[in-house]
Amino acid sequence: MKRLSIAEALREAMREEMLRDERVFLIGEDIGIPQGFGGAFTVTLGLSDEFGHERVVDTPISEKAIVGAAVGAAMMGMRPIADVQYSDFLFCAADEIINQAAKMTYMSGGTVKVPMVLRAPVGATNRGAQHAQSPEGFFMHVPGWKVAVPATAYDAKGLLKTAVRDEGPVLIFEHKRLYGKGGRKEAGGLDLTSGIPDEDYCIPFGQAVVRREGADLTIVATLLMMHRSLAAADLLAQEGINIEVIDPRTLVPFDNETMLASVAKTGKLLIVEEDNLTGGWGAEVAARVADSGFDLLDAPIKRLASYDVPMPFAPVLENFVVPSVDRIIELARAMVKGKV
Amino acid sequence: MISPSTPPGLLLRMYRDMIRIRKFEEKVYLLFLEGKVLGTIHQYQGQEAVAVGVCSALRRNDCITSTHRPHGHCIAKGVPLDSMMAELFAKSTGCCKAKGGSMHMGDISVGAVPAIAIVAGGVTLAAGMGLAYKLQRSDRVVACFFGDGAVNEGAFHEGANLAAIKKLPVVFICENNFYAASTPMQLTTPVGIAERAAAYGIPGVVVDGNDVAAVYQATVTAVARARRGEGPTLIECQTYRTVGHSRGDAGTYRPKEEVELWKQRDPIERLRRSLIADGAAENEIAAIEAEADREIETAVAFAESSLPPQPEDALLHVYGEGVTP
Amino acid sequence: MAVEVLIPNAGQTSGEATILRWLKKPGDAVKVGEALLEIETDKAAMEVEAAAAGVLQSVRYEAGAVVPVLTTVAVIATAGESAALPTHVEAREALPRSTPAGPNGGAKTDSRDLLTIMRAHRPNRTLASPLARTLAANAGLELAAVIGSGPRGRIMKRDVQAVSMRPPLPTAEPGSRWSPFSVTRRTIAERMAASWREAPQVTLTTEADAEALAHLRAQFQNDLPDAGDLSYTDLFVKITAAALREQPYLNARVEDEGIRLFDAIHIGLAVDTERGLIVPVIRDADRKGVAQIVRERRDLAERARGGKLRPDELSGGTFTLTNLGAFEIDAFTPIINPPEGAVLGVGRVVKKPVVRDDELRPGMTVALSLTFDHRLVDGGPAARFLQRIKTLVEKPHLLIA
Repeated sequence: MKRLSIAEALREAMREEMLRDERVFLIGEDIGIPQGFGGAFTVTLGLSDEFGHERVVDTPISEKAIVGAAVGAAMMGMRPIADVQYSDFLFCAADEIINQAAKMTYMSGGTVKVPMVLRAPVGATNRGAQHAQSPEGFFMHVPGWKVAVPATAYDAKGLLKTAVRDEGPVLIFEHKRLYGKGGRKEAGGLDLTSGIPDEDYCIPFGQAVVRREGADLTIVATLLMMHRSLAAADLLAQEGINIEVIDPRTLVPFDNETMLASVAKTGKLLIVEEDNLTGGWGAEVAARVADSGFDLLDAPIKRLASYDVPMPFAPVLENFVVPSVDRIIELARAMVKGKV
Repeated sequence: MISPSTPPGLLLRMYRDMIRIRKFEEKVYLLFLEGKVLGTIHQYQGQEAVAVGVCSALRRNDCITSTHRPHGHCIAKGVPLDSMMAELFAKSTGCCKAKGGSMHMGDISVGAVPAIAIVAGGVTLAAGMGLAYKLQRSDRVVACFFGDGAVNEGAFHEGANLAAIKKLPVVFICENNFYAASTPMQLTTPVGIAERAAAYGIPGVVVDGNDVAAVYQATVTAVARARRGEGPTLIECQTYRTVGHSRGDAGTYRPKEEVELWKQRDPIERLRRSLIADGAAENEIAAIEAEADREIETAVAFAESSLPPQPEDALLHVYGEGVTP
Repeated sequence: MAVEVLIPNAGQTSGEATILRWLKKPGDAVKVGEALLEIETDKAAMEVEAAAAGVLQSVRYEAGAVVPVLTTVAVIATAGESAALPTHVEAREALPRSTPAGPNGGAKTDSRDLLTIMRAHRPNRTLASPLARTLAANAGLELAAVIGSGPRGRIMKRDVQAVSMRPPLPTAEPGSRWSPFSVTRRTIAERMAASWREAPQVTLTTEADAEALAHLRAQFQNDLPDAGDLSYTDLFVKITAAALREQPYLNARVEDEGIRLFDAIHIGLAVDTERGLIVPVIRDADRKGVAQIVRERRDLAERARGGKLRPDELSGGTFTLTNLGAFEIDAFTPIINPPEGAVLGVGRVVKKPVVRDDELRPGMTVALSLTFDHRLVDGGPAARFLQRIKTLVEKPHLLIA
């Protein structure tokens, strides 16, 4: 058992999978350059030293080629892990992601498979509108992709390993503010390292975890918003308000059951997401609960999300747009007290 | 006539495949008019020498990527006509189990991945396939078909550039039929297509795409280079589709004289004259044609007698699990 | 698609089963009907079979685990899909485990019905749509007064409307007191109104000499063990049943297209209780002796007053007997207990002057009132039936003839 950050856990997962399966290779920009960055967020640091530049493929700045090449290699029996530095750049490769990777197995009547992983960092970090999005909802919409959203280092390692071993394409959205060991106040000042067991482990997709138990309100949140929701729940507990916080861990497949069981208990659901409100993943989750959990609800389902604006640069603006611990507390308290 | 130095036995085999493509497409057109073939079709008449010349230079386990106009590529790569026809009839016995249709035909067991109907969509995938072969220490190659319209897509640039810088075993086959749907090439493409190869530091060659032997020879050279690990080649095959872009296209945007001129350069007729000049017997050629007719009749009967898919089959094959390896 | 593997409800009283052993392991392909695991309940050991073909996944309980019925213990992933069950972990950090995961420690979320979970935490919650709640609140209705007709018994707009569209409840008027129907009162009101509305009823009355009957009652009270409270009603049950067996045309009811004659004779007894009139039934009264009738009547009447009768003890009568003798009533016009065809009213057994052998002398009489459904029979047969009752009252030894 050791304690690792998310970046370290992801690196360890890739390293172990590359050792375990020679079909696994990495492809992306800046990932294996000698004395380089190890990708935009250091996740691949050192891997090219160990595995060489053949299995850590540095590419031109060509997102279409990165994703398209991953699709082609996967179809030919490899297990690529592709990296696009910022999830905003996924849109450069929209055709390869949406039309190629997602549909190849289907169009072939199941005779071709595309076992690839696509890693994409999300989250607003004072970088302005084109390096700040949380576009999970866009890709959750595409049949064919599984979508993982690890909020802890333990989950990051286990989910990435499951993704590598999956027979189809998997998107892993990683949050920029959660890569490090934590302690930063933007991340709620939390220790973001996890105890990582020495033995090999995978985390099955579609299994949410209840991060905190409570009877008054269910919060479903991912990534940074999950941590902020936990912080909000801790503060509300001092007022005697007990909040249950659920981390779905994967958006596709989504663990409806754990969420509905929690709503059955609390009768109230708040979804907190960093993406802007309209058409985000929370909208889909809200619709599912309205459908299957109608009789369980004591109050309207509420969503707390970023406002419907491009992400601004100035910290004062960004902090206003992205749900804060205070906003979560305010809405959660109002819901528990039956005021909204 | 046609380029020399191709073995006569091979030429006859290529003639056979070109005839199979031509007759298949003509039959499909009639079936389409009868309403038996659904959806839309993009047909290959006039371009047969490209598909056959290229695929004749490939091994069975080499792969191709195809386009929205895939029937000729699939036949040339060896996809059985039965399963192709069944796919067009939307039957469960189709090569894609009726999930692909005309624009996504393929059969991975003969090296034809499902056709990619997004223009230039196959270019980056082909680079990735080549990357896989390289990592697997295999000497397989991938031939990537695309049209003249595709070279103005960003994907073409990204895929060609990546393949070039990584020296990937890819042969890029541009089927230049001079029209992107109805738009003539001179309105879209300021420099010759093969010239673009210079931008990537790879060989770029122009061949007469209606001369199957020329296409074959150029591909043999490119494939050999790819297998040696020296990287991709861009082959521009100049050809012409003698039919519309897709169903219902009367081709009014093309001068009649131009169409007539190209019809006189029909690749099948040229090969036939050449074969006879080289001493092939008329009855041997007639036998090839009769056999193609029989094969297509059998394919139609197979497609007609096959069952449609169950509606719930639509829910299968979305994710990777349960996929036949 | 994933199909859950559930611990079946095999009628075990404990509501639990022990997993003895797994016959398949995760990843095994299973066929429909194939045994997956063995369980033991307090009734028996049994195998749980696969309800679908696919791959066994997410096995959540090891052998030896005791799990409630209807718990999901694994899932079968059918072709083309992966299956996953949620894991419920208390800690913020999921605990280490290998794949596929079983829950380790902490509370478990099983796939019990969501309503069961809800009721465990919010026991007083009524299922009602938001619109129905609003309408009910606006109409001043308690949701408890509304019966839900939607899925899972959900109260919906239509249910609230059905209640709120009834005429408004009367308000207080000076000089009067108003109380709403109780459930029993409403039932009686509806049934009596239906009887009056549907059956053309005629009442015949006669008077019978009751001296022999009174003598018989006294003898039974003396000679039968535990029959000190033997009543005239008990004797009339026996007499009426015997008459119906001889003349069965009143042991019948009118239906839409004809008349249904019953083989069995089940006599309903009108019992006055605090909640209202209750009519428990003595089944096969013609085949029972007086001693048994006494016991049954006593038991039924006591439980009727205590509100402890079972529904089946209150239904299925073919003829009703009502005795108002205790209230010093003689003849009256009893009303048919629908859907029966007739009812016999028994008055008080009273000492009064009677003419016997042309001499006026003290005697005992009882007034008898028979109400019958004129759709069923005409006056002649009904009169003959009452006449036969009178004969049996006056000559009860004929009962054993």
